[in-house]
Amino acid sequence: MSLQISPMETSADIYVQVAQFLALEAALLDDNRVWDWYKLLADDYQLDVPIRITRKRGEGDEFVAGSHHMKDTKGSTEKRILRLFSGHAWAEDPPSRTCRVVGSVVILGERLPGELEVSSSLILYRERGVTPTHTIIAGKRTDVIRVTENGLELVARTMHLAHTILNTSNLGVFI
Amino acid sequence: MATNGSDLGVLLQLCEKELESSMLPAAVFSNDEVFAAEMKNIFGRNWVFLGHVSEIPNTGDYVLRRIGLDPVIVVRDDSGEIIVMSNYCRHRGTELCQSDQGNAETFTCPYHGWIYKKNGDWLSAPHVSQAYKELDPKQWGLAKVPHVGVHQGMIFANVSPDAKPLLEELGGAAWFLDALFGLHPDGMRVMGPPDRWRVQTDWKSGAEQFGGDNYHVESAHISLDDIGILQSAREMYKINAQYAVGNGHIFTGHNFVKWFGADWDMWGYPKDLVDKFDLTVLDQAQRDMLASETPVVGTIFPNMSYLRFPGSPDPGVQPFATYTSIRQWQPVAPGVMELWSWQFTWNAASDEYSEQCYVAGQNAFSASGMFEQDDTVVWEGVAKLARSVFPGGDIALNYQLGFEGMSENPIDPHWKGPGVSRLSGIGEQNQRSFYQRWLREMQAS
Repeated sequence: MSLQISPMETSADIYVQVAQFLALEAALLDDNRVWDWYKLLADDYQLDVPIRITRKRGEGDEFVAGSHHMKDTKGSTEKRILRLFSGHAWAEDPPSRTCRVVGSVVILGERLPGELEVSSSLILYRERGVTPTHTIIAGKRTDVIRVTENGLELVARTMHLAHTILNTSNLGVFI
Repeated sequence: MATNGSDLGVLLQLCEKELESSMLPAAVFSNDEVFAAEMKNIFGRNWVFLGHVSEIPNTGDYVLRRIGLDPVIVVRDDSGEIIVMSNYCRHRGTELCQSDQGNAETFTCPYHGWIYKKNGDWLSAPHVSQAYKELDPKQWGLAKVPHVGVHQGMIFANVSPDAKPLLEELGGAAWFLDALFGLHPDGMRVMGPPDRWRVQTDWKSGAEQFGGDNYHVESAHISLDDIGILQSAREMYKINAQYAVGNGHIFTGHNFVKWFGADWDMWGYPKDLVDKFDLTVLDQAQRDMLASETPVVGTIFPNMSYLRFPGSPDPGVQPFATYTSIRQWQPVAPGVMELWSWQFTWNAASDEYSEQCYVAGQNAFSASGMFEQDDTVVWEGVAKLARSVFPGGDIALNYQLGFEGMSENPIDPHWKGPGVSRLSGIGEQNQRSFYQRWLREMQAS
């Protein structure tokens, strides 16, 4: 099935599907249903979290090309999940308590027939372990979401963080 | 400077006494007086790592870095020299540089418009002929760090006017850096800006671990063995060497051939890259070391470490690549540090291999690193213990692995390199060496 979409004419139906998909994704992760979340990823899934530096206006992109806090495929993502359930993933066992708020969803356009380019913002509240101290991870995602017969799947994500020096001890949670 | 009777003096005396029995009071990992003294005695008197020459290749290129807590501009001036200077304007202390990196012809203060040349010399100010008729430019340049040195492309600086030369202070560590970074005439370069994130522990926790803590790998990082990213973690202790180079610089090696098999010599670098190396620049002891207990991690006192290790983010699907990372354990506050991590590649390596190294390295050791994540949490406890009422920060921590008959940690009688080599992962001589240097610096007047 292919959709003819232009940014000016996003139908409410498509927008609701995409927004629900992103909200569902966040809920699964907050609920620690990580393998259910994994099923939302396309086989050709790629994640890129570039490193951001402080730069004066006009002196170049703050997100440095070719730099990555994280660069994952579906395979390396699977390894991360297997590690979480190894019984020895000290950073995330007990798991962080998270609350992901996804907002500002915009359907930017159609990259290929049936593949939507979608922007959304994420604020991720995170507490770990027995102490109540928390950190916040914030950023803007640019995703490619594919419409298939079986529903939507996440093909690619680039996460542009609002941080240069991260204020959380590790990126052990999925963003 | 510690005086007898002060709290810091008492604590340092306790450190001295306990180190004789290979122990250390937990308090040193989060203590206001210790931290303040470290900023002066450790970071104000030693050669501190600032970055790599490949980060500032062109005239006017600069990066904003730190010596202890203090921001410094590291800039390539017109003559090609590297200048390290204070970021604070001499008029009212405004920070000149508000970005992490860039290129500048001059540095202009936004407050009153004082202008400095790229080497920090005072240049001018608005309406200068009316405003500063008597100002001697030589007196009003940015404060410059008196000593800057480079070894194997790594930039170090020392704010102490009487600093001994870099090579002398590196001592045997320079021999290790040569064996690690001097294998090809074109050397290595950084790949991108450092990954940086805040960790809730003391800077010394990272520095001591990356200098030779082999013992933790099969416990802290066993999850990687569980999922097949690391093989035979529980066998690793048999194939280590621990090198206490002297002066608190510490390294450890792995015999990759004994651990993983014949294909894994020279850190598992691909043959076409190894063929490009020129090992004739090394001495025999260095060549022997690379052929046996190849150096894998090390710490240059005080707070710079390196790591070279093979990995794949998805073994069987993505190829193995051997990554090289430089880390810096930046002090932020008592019990708080920032971990800064750069990925390096050989200039002689292909772009494709370089990218594989970058991804493999970040997958293992970075803010998202599958090894590194667990380090960041196991380190948290000691910073809290340091400030506890119960059991109290004075409680002794155990650094006795390999000490006086505690463990099988034999000295290698055949070692021809600098310092002492011990052939076992079951030892903490390296950590003891680090703290002996630390204590010496802290007690110096």
